[in-house]
Amino acid sequence: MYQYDDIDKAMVKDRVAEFRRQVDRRISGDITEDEFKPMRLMNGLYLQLHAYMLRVAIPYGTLSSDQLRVLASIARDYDKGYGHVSTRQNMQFNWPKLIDTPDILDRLADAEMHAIQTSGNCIRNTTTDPFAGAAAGEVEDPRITCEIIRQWSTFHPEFSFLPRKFKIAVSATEEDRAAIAVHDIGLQMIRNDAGEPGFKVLVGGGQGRTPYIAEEIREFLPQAELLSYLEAILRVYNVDGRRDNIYKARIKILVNEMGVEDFRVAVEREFDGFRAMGPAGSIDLPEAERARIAQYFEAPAFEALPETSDAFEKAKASDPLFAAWARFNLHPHKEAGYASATISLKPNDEPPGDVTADQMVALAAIADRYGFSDIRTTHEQNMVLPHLKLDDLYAVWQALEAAGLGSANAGLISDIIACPGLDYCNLANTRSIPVANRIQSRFADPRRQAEIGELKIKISGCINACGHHHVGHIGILGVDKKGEEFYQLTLGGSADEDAAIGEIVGRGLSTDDVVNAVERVVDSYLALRLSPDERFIDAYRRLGAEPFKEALYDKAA
Amino acid sequence: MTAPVKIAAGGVKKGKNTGIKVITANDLFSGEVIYWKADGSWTEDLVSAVILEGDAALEALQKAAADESRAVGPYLMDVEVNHTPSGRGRLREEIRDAGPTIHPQFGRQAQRGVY
Repeated sequence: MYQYDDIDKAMVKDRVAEFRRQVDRRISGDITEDEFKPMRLMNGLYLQLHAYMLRVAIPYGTLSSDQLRVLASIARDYDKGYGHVSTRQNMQFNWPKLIDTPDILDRLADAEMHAIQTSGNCIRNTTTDPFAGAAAGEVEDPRITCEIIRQWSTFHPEFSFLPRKFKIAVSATEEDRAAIAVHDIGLQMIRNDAGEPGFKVLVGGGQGRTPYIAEEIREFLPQAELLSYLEAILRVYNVDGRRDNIYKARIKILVNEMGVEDFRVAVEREFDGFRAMGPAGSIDLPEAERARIAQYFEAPAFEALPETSDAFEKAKASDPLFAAWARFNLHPHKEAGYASATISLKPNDEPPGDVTADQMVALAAIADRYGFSDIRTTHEQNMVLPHLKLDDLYAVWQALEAAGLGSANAGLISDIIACPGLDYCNLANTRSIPVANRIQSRFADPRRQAEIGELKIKISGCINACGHHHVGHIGILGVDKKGEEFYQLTLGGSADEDAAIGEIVGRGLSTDDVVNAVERVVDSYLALRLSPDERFIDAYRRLGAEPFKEALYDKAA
Repeated sequence: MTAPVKIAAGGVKKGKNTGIKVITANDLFSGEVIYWKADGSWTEDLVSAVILEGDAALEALQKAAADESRAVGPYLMDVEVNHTPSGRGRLREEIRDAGPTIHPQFGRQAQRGVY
C-alpha cells in the first residue's frame, strides 16, 4: 500500500498541530462556534445528537493491520470500544470528546492516517472495489488511480470551496462493486481497441433527494490524461454549479439542467485548454511519477498453488457452518489457490457496520498471519481480507468465528446497509438500524436466507439517502409524519453495473408494518421466480413492480 | 411573540414559539446533551431544566446562546409540564436524552438502567 513520503508526513502532522491550536482558541473563547465549526468539519469532526463524531479517512478502503490496530486503540482509549464502517469506506467514531480530538488525530498521523476531507464541500475519499488487486479481470489495480486522485485532490486550492461535496469512485472490472453510477464522477477502467488503458467517464450520478444514474460523458479517456480531464469537469462545476440552494448544488443538478451534451462541450473546452499546454504545462502526471505511485500497489508474493485445495474441500464437507460461509462470503481470486473473503459486519441484532476494538485487533492478527496484513473496508459496511490461501480458509474462518466475525451472510437479506439514522444523526427523521435489526431477526434462519439468495436491502433514515435506499433491491426510506416514524419502500434499485434507481411503491408504512411488508415482498418473489437462480432483482426486472405492489398492499390494508 | 424561532435542529423544521419549552444544547467539551437551568447554568438532567414560555423562552435562549464557553447550538425543544419531550421532536429528544436505542449500554440510559 501507499507509504507517506516526508512531505505527506509533515503536511498531516502540521495540520494536527494547527487544529490543536484552533481547539485551544475555541475553548479559551478567542473564536466563536460559528468561526470554529468550519475548521472542525474540515478535520472530520461533526457534532451529532449525543456527542461529537469523528470520521477517519480510509483512502479507497485500504488498511494495513497496523493501521487497524491504531483504529482499535482509538476506539478503546477515546471512544466506547467500537468504530463504524461508513458507506464511503471510512471509519466513524461516535463518542470522542473535543478536547481529545487533537490527540486522536496525532495518533492517526503517526500511522499515516487522518480525517482530512471527510467533510465539507470538497473532493471526498475516493472509493473503489474492495477486491482491488485481487479480483480477476482488472485492467489494473484501481487503487493506483485512487491514490493519484487522492494526491491531486487533497488540499487542492481551486476545489476547496465547491458548490457542494464531491464524490468519485473507480472500478477496474466489468462488474461494478464500487457503485460508480451513483457518484458525482464514476470512472471505469477499460482498454481501447489498441489495448491501451483508460477510462469510461460517467458524471452526474448521485442519491439524496434527487437521485440520478450518472451519464457517460466520455467513452474512452486515455489514462495519461486523467487529471486534466477531472480538473476540466471540476472547473465547469465550480463555475456553473448552483450555489443558491443547497439541495440543487450537486453536479447531478448541473448536468441535468445543462443537458449532458452541453455539459460535455463545456468540459471538452476546458480539457482542450490543458491539452494545448502540452505535457509540460498540463497537470497530468509524468509517467515516472505514475510508476512511482503504482509500485506501492504491486501484488504481494503469491505462491504458485493448484486451483483447488483438498484441505478446503474437506473442511467444507465436514463443517456445514464453514461451508455456508464459504458459499456466501468468498469471492474468486485472480491467483490460483487463493480467495478473497468478505468479513460480514452484519451479525443479527448488531448495528450494521459496527466493529469492536477487540474485533479489529483480532482481524489485524488474522490478516498478519494469513492475509499479507492487508484489510479493506467496503461501501456495503463490511470488511474484506483480499488475499487468502484456500488452504488457510478453515483456520481463518475459525478465528473469525471466535471473534464474532464469522457471519455467513454476505450479499444476503441480512447484509443490510443502514445509515446511523435517528439513533445518532442530527439530520435523520427516523431510525434505520432498529429496522435493519428487526428484518435480520425476521429472516434469522440461515436456510431461509440461503433460499432467498442475493437480496440487497438498504435503509436511510431521511431523504439524504446515506443508507443508499435508492439503489437497494428493496430500499427503505424513513419519513416523519407528525412526529411518528413511517417507512417508504422502493423496489428494483441496483448499485452495480446495471445500476437503477428503485421505484417508490405506494404509501408509507408504520414501524409495526414495515418488516411485514418486506416479508410479503420476499414471499411474492419466492412464489414468482422462475428458478432459485433468478435473483430478486432479476425477477423484478422481468415482472415490474405490479405483482409486488399487489402483494404489498392487498394484505397490508 | 409569534416570530419563528429555532425550535429544534436537524430533522425537525422550524416552528412557532407556542407552548412550553426547555432550552437544550450540546456540551462544548464532551458533546453531551445539556439543558438550561433557572439560575443560568447548564445541567445534564432534563428534570432540572427550567420550563419557559413565550418571550421568556426567547430571552433565555438569547442568554444561553451567548454562553459559548459551555454550550454549542442551543435551541428550544417542546416539553410537557413533567419535562418529558413532546411534539414532532419527541422521539429525537428522547434519544438525545437517553442515548441510542440500539446501544442501551451507552448514554444516560445505561446509568438509569432502563430505556
